[in-house]
Amino acid sequence: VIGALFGARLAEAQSGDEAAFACLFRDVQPALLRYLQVIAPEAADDVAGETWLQVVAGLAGFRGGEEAFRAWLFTIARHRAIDAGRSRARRRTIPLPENGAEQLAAPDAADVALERITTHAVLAPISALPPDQAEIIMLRVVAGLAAHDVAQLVGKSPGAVRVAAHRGLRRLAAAVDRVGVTL
Amino acid sequence: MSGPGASSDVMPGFSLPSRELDEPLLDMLLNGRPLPADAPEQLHAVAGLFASLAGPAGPGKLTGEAAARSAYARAAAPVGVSPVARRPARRRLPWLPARVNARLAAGLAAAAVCLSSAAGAYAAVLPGPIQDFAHHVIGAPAARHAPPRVPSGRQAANRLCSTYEHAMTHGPARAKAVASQKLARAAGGAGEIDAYCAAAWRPSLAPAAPAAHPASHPKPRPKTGNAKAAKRKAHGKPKAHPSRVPTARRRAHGKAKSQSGSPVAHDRG
Repeated sequence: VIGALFGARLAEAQSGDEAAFACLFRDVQPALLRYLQVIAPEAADDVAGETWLQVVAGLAGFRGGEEAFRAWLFTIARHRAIDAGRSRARRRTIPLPENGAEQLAAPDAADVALERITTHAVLAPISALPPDQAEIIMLRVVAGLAAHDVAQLVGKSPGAVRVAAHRGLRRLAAAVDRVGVTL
Repeated sequence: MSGPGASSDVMPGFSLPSRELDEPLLDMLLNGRPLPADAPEQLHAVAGLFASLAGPAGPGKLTGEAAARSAYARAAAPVGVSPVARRPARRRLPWLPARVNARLAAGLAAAAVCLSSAAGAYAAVLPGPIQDFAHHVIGAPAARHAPPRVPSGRQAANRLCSTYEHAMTHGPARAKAVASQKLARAAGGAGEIDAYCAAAWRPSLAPAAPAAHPASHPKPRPKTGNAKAAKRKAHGKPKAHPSRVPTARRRAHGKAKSQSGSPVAHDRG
């Protein structure tokens, strides 16, 4: 979270400062990828890329603070993930093996692969939750969105979001307790 | 998890320690606040899980940065934030003062206007009066005066001209105004009315402009009495009676004459 400097960074990014845009990107991208790895694990990178394309296209017209910016961005990501899911359902594809060619071709391929494995292990208990609970927990905890923003994003009432989040947390606590996850 | 629906949430193989996980503690987890030390152990484990997700980004989490920055650079260009738009608004030659620079720019602009005008004059594409002026001053070709508009429908033109003449001779002021306005619109201007009506009444004798500068005037197009007949001829379909007026029209014409009792203007042709 950028905090007090967010307004200045946003204004700079809107006026064409690429370094300011990179600052926004680096702040949000990790949470975005983790969120997408839970709700669209097969296309997280692609959906993140499409999300940023749309953010770039609408950045000049965006008005609001950091919380609104993140809510806007995750709303876009959610819609793109839903589109990607529909698209995948329409055309059958053969998925590449995990840690595929693209990752190995990167200069820091070993670090990337290790990080993915770690992230996958950390996200696994959350991904095992019912989809709506997993998504709400990711939006609340990882994306850092407020309850009312999450409610608007997923199309539920704030009360329903809170109930779903509590249920998910209880399941998660039980799973962690049983499996004995140590972090 | 003490409500009536709690049992439906239980995952197979798990027993929920629900009584220890009260809602304020869960809200603290959701809001990212630190848990009290006496909170249940499993909640601390969940908090540790969340903390690892919120940790610093590794290289794998920023792999899309180059693509996003590239998209940003492309998108920023058309909305006025391209490197060109970021240039200083005014650039001047460093060895000239600003006033001289402004005069130089004005002089260059005037020279460009003069050159383009002269070129336009020699190409005979300037407006008529300006082209005439250039013709007298620098010997450019004279203006091409457009031939009067030839009426497209002769009957309609005859009617307009007749109405105009009648109104001018016998009509009230309002009729004069209306007739002259209609005719001027059809002729392409009040000054073209005489030529228009002359062409309408005597199409084969349309006034030809004197050829003072033959090279600069367009060749008058040969006028045929009946363009449709010429077209038919070209297509190999000769008209049976090219000069004959259709019977119905002749009848109507004669009827009109007999009804009005006085010859109308279009009889002149």
